[in-house]
Amino acid sequence: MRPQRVVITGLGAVSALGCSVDSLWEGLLAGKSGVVALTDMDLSGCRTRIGARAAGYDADAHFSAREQKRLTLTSQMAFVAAMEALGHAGIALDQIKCSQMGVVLGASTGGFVGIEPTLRDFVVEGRIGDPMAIPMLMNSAPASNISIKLGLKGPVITMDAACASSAHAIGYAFNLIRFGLSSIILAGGADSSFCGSLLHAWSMLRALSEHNDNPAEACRPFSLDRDGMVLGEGAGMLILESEESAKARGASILAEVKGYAATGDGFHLTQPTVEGISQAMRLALTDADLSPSDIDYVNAHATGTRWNDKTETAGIKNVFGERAYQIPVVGIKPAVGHTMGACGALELISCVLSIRDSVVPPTINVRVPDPECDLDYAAEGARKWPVRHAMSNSFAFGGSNAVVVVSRYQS
Amino acid sequence: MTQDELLAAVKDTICTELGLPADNIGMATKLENMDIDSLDVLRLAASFEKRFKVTISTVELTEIQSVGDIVTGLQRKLIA
Repeated sequence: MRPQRVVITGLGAVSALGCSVDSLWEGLLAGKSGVVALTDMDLSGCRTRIGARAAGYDADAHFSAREQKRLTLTSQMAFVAAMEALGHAGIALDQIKCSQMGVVLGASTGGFVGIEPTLRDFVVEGRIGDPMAIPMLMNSAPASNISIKLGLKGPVITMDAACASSAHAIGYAFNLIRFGLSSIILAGGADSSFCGSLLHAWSMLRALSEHNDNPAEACRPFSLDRDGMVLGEGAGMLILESEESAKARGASILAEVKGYAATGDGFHLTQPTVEGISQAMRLALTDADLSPSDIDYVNAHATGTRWNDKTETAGIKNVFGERAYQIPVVGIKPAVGHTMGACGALELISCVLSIRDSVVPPTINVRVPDPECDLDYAAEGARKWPVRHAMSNSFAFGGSNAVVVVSRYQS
Repeated sequence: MTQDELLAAVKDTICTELGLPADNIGMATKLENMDIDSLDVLRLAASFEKRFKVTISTVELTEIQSVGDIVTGLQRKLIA
């Protein structure tokens, strides 16, 4: 069977810049940061007390009190983003009920939030009082809840590869459609990991920024004074479908998924390697049948940690050579935080919008030049920039690397 | 507790735990007609066990069809 072309026809987003794709995009282009001081949990004694909460998210606007008892914030945000993506793609709910539409979602740590109060009870009372503890804890719950609420009968799959989860989910969905195993899939990722114990745990790993006095400027990718990432929450969902499916229903095509690659560092749980991420970028280019000179824009993983940013910069130079200095390399995590299972999807959405609008957002908070991070990070602000082909990088703890290439659609 | 008092307690728990209106709940009300599913029954059972200091077995849970089944089941346990 001839491989199918795979296109993107709908986008949905919940992030620290607001609860829609439009608010995400407007905030990114304006150089805003959604990072704030965290005041709704006990973080006394925690080194980090800031985070990127989903701005304006109102659970009551979307779910009954009864539903909220069953759905973690991760599940809720995944569903809200999925609904926006479906609407954006012009897909009515009665069209897809009992259809073969699939759900392939990345999720990583958000399930733990659902069980944290119950664990507290267990420590105090020696028993678990909430029968929903397991259904809430399951990382597969967000994808399943979308499938259940919409009555979808296609594949329901969750990928957990830490920070690369949703990039792998999109890549897997891409391959399912490309090789004719599915025709349309809701793909993306979600995570809301805000609870006291997880914040403390991340902080103990010394992975989080400790610029508590200046939340909006705390995460500083590629800047010499960077001191870590900022935890975020949100969801990004995309409608991936075969070109044939999109054309048959007269859908507007936003972009085409051209390539995906996955590699492992085989080295360390928290330290990336230049070799591993370089190979992922190379293989994604090969999969897309493109060369480095074709790529106009790289959306970087750009966590703001000392290791990631210099390793990623070295990897990009390794793969792109001189081309690395000629194209913008942008990180959006200072704006929306590190959304874990959602980040690859939110970042790919920003790539699709860059292709659509011929503009790239800035990397904010690049304050002090770092000799080891010497690429063009578009630090001065959003830039008009024609983008035919964009690369989105996701490099996770554990050495799981995922790279997705999206392109301007040409029939 | 009388049966009426137990029914009131069960209705109260259904309202509190599941956010459902108690207006039309009676002994004959079927759980499926209230859109109460197996996970909701687990939540209700956990609440009853804590409130009435009783133990409800898994087999007993699977036999519950109506509000009356809950009330009479609890009544038997409280008398015993």
